[in-house]
Amino acid sequence: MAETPEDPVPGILSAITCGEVILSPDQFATRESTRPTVPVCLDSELSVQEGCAALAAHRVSSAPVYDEKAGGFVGMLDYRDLVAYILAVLHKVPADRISADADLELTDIIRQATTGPQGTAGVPIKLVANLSKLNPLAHLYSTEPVLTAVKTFARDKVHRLVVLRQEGAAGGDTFVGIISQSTVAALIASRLGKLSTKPGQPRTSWPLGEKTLADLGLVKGDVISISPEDQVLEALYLMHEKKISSVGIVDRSEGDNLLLGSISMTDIKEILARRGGWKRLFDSAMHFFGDLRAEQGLQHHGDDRVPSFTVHPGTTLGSAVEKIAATRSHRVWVVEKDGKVVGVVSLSDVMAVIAARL
Amino acid sequence: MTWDLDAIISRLYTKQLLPEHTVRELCEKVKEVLVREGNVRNVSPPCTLVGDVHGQFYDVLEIFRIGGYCPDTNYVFLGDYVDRGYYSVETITLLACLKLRYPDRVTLVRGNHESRAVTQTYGFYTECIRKYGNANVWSYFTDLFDYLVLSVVIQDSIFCVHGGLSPSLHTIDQIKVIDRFREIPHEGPMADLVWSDPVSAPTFSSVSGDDKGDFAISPRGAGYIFGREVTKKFLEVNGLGHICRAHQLCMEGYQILYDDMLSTVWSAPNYCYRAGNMASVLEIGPGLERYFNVFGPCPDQYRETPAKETATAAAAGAMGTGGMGGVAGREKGGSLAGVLSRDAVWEDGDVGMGSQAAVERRRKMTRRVGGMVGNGNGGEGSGDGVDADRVGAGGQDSGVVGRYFL
Repeated sequence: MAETPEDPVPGILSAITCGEVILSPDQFATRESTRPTVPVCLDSELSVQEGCAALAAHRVSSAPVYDEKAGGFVGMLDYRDLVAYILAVLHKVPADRISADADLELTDIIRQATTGPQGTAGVPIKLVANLSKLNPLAHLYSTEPVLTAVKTFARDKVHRLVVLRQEGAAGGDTFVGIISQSTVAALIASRLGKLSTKPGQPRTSWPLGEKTLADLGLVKGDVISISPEDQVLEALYLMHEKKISSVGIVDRSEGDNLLLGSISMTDIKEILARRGGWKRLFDSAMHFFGDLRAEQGLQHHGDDRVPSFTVHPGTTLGSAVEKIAATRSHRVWVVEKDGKVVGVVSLSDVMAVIAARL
Repeated sequence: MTWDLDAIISRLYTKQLLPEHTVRELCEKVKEVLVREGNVRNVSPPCTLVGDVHGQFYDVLEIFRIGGYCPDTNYVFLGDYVDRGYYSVETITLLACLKLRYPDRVTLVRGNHESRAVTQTYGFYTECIRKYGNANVWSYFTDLFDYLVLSVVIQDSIFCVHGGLSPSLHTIDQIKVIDRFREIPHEGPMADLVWSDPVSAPTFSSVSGDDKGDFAISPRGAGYIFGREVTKKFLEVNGLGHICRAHQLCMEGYQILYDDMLSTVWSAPNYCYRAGNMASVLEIGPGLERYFNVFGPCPDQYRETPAKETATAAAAGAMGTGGMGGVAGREKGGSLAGVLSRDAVWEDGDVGMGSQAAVERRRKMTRRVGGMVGNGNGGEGSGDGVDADRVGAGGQDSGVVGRYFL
């Protein structure tokens, strides 16, 4: 078989549709961590606490919100929205930063939040969905190729898209599921990964995947971070402010910039999914992070994970994608041999690199 | 200053903390012993292998009660001494002292939790700050961890390691040349030895001419998951009969995979005080017979918890030094009613935990498994579980049920 320097990715992404990839077997499933088999959507009247618990229970980062009265989907509930909501309620986001048409809803929210029986319990998620304005209800049809999804991720800077199935002229569309950047990473890892491909499957060469993260310009030299004693709330504020999904917990006290851990958008579910979770916002970041990892270890049948998923500047793109897929995470932190953190490579970065060559 | 190690060890059995400067000296002395040991330490049977203990000090005392105290029994500890339990400091201090006192009878292998990054996340660092007011003791111990050996070979037959195998390591000799005196790296052979896991999924079937086909990236974020073929090859290439490792929670205390080519020993019962699991130690006889001695957690009334401690501190007064693992209040008689869980079947005779009768009864309750190394009749764990007739709970030896604390 002749080796061509051609990029196999466009072919793979064109040959499979969004509908098919959602329904294909989940190669990276572990006992505790699988894709939801039933597409999750939320009723708009669920409280914030219930919505968050539903996201956590189904192990998804977001779900479309369906409003019966309006007779359709009114938005996506995403952790970003929940973060924006918390920060608004705690007055950390100045009012002029919230877009104009959300003003009314915001005052509604705050009023309800302060008079509700448990604080947040009384606020329906329809008022919270889309609050961050960062996850509009973008969608694709199940017959469209995954290639379209990747282009959309990169162009619109979204992390996931709703996949609908057209029911023909008469009916509305059926909700099939969500296609996310993680879905695409898993697909690429399973087809092109050095270790992820099944034995017996022909291994295709992927020139782009052989390039190092440094060569691809993905190692920026430093990361946005907080210190171990900063409060969790500070982390959320930074994520909201900089429009990023994660901040590193970095010890800069001795100039060696050691990565101790991280707090990411998805950790917010730990705060909102249980009663009294509010208090954790005022915990130190390191304390919260440690408790989170300890709990995650128990959820994974006692299999503790490394504190941070890391790679080196010389790691190849392909290896990075494989690691992200195998750990079911959204990013890997780039560290040098001495432990100094020099960058972070997220799924969004990966999608951008791939989309640029489609 | 004269070091009365026996006196120190007696105090440690009663869970007293050593002063900071004593810990520093202890770590210096143990490093001097460990620096002379190679990455692969050779041990002769009989000996007892101990899996993860994770700071569960009272359950470590249980291990000595059922397995025998040092130096009467030779011990090989397979790592993960700290993090998660309430008494990581007391646990590692005791084991370090036993190593110093009986260097030829105690072997300490490094686990993935014997690392600065991991202990800052999973509890040991926090515990040191709480008990000593600063991070010095943490740094003495984490410096000591850099000296722990990476693996053990028992009589050229049984390979023992904390985690598992590495795609970079095909032979024992390759392990010997690793520079181990450092923090565990994020990747590479040293990381793999302490982080890898076996799987019994059918994904990993034999692939001709492709060694790496049987390794996959671990969802833990370090190390690999590996299969039967890789295990078989490693044993054949190195002329070994069995691999014993720890690192993964086993509800029944142990698990046997791949037609007895590999086993996992787990020694922290009721892990994190809530998992409800059994634990075991692997006793290796002079002829390399293998015997999983299964046990449950130390019963509640013999166990202190941080909450209980502050409540009884004033009332208890001075704790006796009771040489052989005595715990305050243990020697008192008294009824067990109302203290233990509904499943407990302890009899009054068990009150004196070290009594010969209790030890005998416990031995009868446990099961003989495995057999001679290389003898295939050890029985295989099917996927996650263990064969029904091997389950520690239920079956004829229903007395074992009493050890579950949910």
